[in-house]
Amino acid sequence: MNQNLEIKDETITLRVDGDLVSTNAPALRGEIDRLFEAGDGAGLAWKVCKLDLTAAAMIDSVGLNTVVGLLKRAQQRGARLQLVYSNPNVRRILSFTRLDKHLELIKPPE
Amino acid sequence: MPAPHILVVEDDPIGRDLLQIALANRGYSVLAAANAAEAQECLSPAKINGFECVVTDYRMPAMNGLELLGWIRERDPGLATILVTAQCEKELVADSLRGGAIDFIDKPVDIKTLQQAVARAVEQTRRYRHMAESESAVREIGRTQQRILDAHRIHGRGIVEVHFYPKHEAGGDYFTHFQFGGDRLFCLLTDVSGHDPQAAYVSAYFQGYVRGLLQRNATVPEIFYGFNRLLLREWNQDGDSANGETNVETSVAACAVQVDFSNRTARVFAQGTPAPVYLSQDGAVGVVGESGGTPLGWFPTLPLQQVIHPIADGNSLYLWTDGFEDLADRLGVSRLSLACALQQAKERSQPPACIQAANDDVLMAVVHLAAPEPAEDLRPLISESYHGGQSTEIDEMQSYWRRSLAIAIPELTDSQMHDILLASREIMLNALIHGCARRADRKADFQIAYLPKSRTLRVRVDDPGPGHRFDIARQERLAALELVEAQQGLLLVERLASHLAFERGGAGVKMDFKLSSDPSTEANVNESEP
Repeated sequence: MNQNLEIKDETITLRVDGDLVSTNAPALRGEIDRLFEAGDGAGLAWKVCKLDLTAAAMIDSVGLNTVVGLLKRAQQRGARLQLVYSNPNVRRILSFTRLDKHLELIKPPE
Repeated sequence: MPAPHILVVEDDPIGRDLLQIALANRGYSVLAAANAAEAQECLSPAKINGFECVVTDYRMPAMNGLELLGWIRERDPGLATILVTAQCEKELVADSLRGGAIDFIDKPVDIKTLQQAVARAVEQTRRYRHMAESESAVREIGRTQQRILDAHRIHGRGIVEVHFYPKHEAGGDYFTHFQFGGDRLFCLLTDVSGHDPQAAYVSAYFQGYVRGLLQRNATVPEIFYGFNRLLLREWNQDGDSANGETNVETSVAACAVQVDFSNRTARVFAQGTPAPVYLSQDGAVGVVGESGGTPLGWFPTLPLQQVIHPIADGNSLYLWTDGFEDLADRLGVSRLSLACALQQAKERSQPPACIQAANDDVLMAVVHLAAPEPAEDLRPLISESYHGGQSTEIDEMQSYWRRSLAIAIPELTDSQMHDILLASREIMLNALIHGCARRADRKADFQIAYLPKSRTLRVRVDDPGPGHRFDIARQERLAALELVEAQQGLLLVERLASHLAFERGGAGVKMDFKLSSDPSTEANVNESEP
């Protein structure tokens, strides 16, 4: 898994290369754990977490669980979670699981 | 042998006579033309094949020798021509060679040089024409094979379909089938080493040998042993008998299937071919016997592989050569999905696009046993077993499923493909992780089949586990109220499949996907969210 982590202003962006599925979701979860453990003590005062899934064509149940876990932790911290997608199939899956009601979904212009 | 016919073209009457006499003295039959127009009359379509060389002067009125040469090449590229040029026309040599003249001669013409040049030219023409005839004969052999193999035969008890895509114009792949004894059907798939008229000859000879002996009530083992001896003792050279080595020149891989409708059995003999695949009417897929075995013509001792398999009405048997399997491997798809692709292409009367990637002749035959009542055609696309330790390979499995589905059903939309793969992934992971407890000694069966009439794709996963007590309806209600992190997989599948059924307490899963609609057009998704 080759995520990019970018911090700009009050937004932290986690970029996932490719699909978010059972074989790479654990690595993302590890990144998320490190991010939250670092917390404000490391000077990371972010208010928005952006999960960039523009490269994903598929998100499976393990990937969804990872997103739910991230969402809950962000909410506990008082932060917002945005999910950026480009593939309509990813959007459908978020809709099936009602995650679209809990997340801010962003679709970049083509 | 009749004297070769030569056409001499020269506008100077003295020069023309000299050429004519010089060549006639060498035993040639010579016709002379005074200019290019006369030469063209002599070389009319009905007559041009009668000439074996044209000797033409370069400088002639109206049409020069080089132009005449070009005219001849368009009509008979194999007819050798000689251009006679004067000293000052030397630079034309390069043009004449590019134009295709076999030779050129300087003026004044040396008689011996002329005679030698014509002899070479005649030889060249004959060689070219002989090769063209051989190529034509090879193509005719290939066309004959194709015509016979292309038949879609209907017997009283079933249908035999044959799909043959030769890579070469003639070769040793062949399939034949016939009824005998009233209640028996015999099928023979042959793959002779080589892709040339010799292989085609051996293949046809073997097919006739088998048919003749069967009609004399010989058994398949007797026939195979007999042909093995024939190859070793008469066609291949016997080597040192002490170490059993043989200089193999011709070998025959063969798969014979004897269907006995009375006993409801199929007796299969596979010598050096892939093992046939059996499909039951309810979609179960199995391999009959083992692939490989010793082809005929290799060793004096021929270990015969014979398997007796029960058959039932409505069942199908797939036979294919190693060229077919090689193509499936090159494409990275399942054999069954490639079989479906060939069948679909034939139904559309189109050559399958995937055949371009073939490195060898591709031959597949399917024997369909008639069912007493019509049942929906079911085409297996993928039938695999995965063990519990392979859950980490799910990405590779998914890619393999994707390629196989894409080749068998190219009209699958991106959304349809996504839903089938995602649902299959979820169920398969469940089977490997929970049903097989990630153990390498436990296997889950995975199958995808296509039902063309109802345009349905059916996925089946069976694992050896105890099943589950997952209450989908309850979890759906919970998920509507709050976010749940666990058990998302089955909820997802329930939304993706047109129909979902659990068997054996959940250890067996059957999912149907209707392809008559595109999920992306049905989704009620608001795309205008910020």
